[in-house]
Amino acid sequence: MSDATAIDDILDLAVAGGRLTPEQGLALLEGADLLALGAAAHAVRTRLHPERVVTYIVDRNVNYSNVCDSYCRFCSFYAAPGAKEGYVLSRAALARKIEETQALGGNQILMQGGTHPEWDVAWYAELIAFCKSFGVHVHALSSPEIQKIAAVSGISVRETIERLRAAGLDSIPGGGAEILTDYARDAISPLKCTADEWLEVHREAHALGMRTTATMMFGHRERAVDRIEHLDRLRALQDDALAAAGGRDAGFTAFICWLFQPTHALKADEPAGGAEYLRTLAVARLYLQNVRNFQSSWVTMGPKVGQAALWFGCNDMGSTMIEENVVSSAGVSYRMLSPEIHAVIRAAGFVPQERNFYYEPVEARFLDSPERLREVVGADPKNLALPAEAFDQVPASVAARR
Amino acid sequence: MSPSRILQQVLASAGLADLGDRAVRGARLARDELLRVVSCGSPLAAAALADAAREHASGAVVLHPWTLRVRAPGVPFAAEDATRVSHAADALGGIASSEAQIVGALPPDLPLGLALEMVRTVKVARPDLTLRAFSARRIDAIAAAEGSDARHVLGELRRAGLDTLDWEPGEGSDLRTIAVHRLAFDQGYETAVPVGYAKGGVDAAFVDRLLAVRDAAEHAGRVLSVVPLPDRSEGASPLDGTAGTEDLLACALARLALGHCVKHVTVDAHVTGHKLAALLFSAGADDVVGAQTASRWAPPSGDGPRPLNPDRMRRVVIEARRSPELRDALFRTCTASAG
Ligand code: SF4
Repeated sequence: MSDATAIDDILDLAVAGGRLTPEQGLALLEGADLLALGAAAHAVRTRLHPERVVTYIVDRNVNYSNVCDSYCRFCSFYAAPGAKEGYVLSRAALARKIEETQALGGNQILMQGGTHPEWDVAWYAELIAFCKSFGVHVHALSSPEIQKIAAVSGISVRETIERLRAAGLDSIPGGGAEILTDYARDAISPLKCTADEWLEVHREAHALGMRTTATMMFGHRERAVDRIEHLDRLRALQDDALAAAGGRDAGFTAFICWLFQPTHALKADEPAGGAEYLRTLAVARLYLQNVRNFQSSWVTMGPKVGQAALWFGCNDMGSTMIEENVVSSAGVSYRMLSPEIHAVIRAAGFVPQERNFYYEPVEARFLDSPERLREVVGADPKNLALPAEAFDQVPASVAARR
Repeated sequence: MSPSRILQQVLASAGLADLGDRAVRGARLARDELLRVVSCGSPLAAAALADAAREHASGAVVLHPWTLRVRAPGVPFAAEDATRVSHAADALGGIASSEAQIVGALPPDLPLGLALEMVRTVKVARPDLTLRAFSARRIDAIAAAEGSDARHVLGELRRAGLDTLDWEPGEGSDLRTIAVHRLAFDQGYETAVPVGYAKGGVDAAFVDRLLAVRDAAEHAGRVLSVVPLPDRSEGASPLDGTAGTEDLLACALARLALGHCVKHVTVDAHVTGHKLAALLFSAGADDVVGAQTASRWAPPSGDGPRPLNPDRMRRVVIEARRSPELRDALFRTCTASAG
């Protein structure tokens, strides 16, 4: 059998809902034609989401602190404990950010920071409870942070999550996964939690009935086999979550992958560009069919590749990213609000639909004027550096209210 | 090579299955066939056809120049002044490149004399490099400022040493651009012809402009490449700029419209960004500009994506599973020269 026929057979298997082996995943990643991968991934996406809708969420990425003792080699964001660049957001600043988010039509905050050597579960429970008091969905604290909190507090991961959940934690983001193999983690983040520890947090959260998201950051020091092993481990964990839920949707709500940005901190041996992003994304969609939703990473790839990604397996445009500090620390700063994200989705041939964390549709609320934006943003306009034209397109219902 | 099984299914569901064999043979499509591609609703189907045609034309090769960008303001353009010319040679020499390009904000009423001086200075400083400069729009502006015509301006620049014309975003959205390039062919130039489009503008009129280039290529045979050119660079607000899927469709149509008449389709990565450019290598493009060699007179230009250094551009091409080959401004494969 020729290589091309073998690849065709694997693609047919995946499109029919078959489960790929790691060897088949690797064969696709290394040898398949980019457009054929896109077509197969889009077929899987269409089977899972037959409607021509692309969803998105209005939320804000709040980085409550940059103090971190994990010293990941790729990270331009952190400040070492005691360093003068370190910050912790005051409660007043947090309140303002949350209220701005709500005024911008958002009802979720994605809150992450570093791994702090001293803050225990009580400190974090207070932080979460404060955020929750505004009535927003709190999607916060990635696996490395939760592992660190458990270690500092001297309690189990399960108990840590239970206490944070009792304080108001709604769901756990997939940050800090990078690549879930020891080879890759040793190369870029040797002090951060191990692959097993990352998975443990999500396993415990799923067991408690919480939903989480899964991520992959690639294009640094990992090999193709590492990417496939990463997908394989996520798939196995999701299998467990779904089995335990007895037919209900459970575990990871979504998968998001993005490219490492080699701008400041760590030079990649091979810079990954649009083709490599779309190739890996499509293979992930084919491999990870038990995770329903795939987000396009327009924040790192830009809106244009973000639009193309909607034809390579994605059914979601992710977050409007009202604020993003970690990626912009690496020199990449694409940003959109609802009117732009609507335009981007429509121009790519799909119907935009705002959603909540659980991918349930919600009514879209646009900002109704640039003045309104300035009013909301107040003295911190750089957080929302959008052109005034961004607000020309408003729905009739909003225009009528003006 | 025929598209894979899944892509044949995509072509069938987009109603384009009958075009697959012709694309594989590199045959150009007729206007009504191109319009079917425009309205097929599947960027992947359009790209699959164009990718088959590209493979027929170029195999795995993607051409790219290393561009020595000479920023016009600041260059001591005075070819007759030996001291200043040697200053220019010092500044522009020693930088390994494969073409030179004059860039920068030029005054709208740039006199022909100054344009000629620029060309002569660069050619004296770097006689080893072919020179790309002045868009069709600029040629018209110089002619207007001179009270002469584009044919005269093109002839004078040619005699001064200009090798080929340049392009600029926003250009190529009417037939005048193609008319100026036709005049250039009469003067002995070979050029890459931009065919521009705006958001929502990859339509029948865009196809007609491509067909006008095809007509010019059939008559003169001097079209090196077609450059599908969005009117805004990547950094523009998504409310104003073209969609990535529109760029993909425009690139595919360029390849499918030109067939055997024009060998290359060029992506301007200064405009599209290199991330999207890497995808366009699978949608008909086999040539990319945007790798800039260093020069103290050539800082990255204001808006738009940052240029890549030549090494990174090579890697972007390789990562897209293509073989990079260096070319000069006239699309001849070459090695880099340091002057
Ligand atoms: S990536 Fe996260 S864990 Fe690693 S150094 Fe940066 S803030 Fe700390």
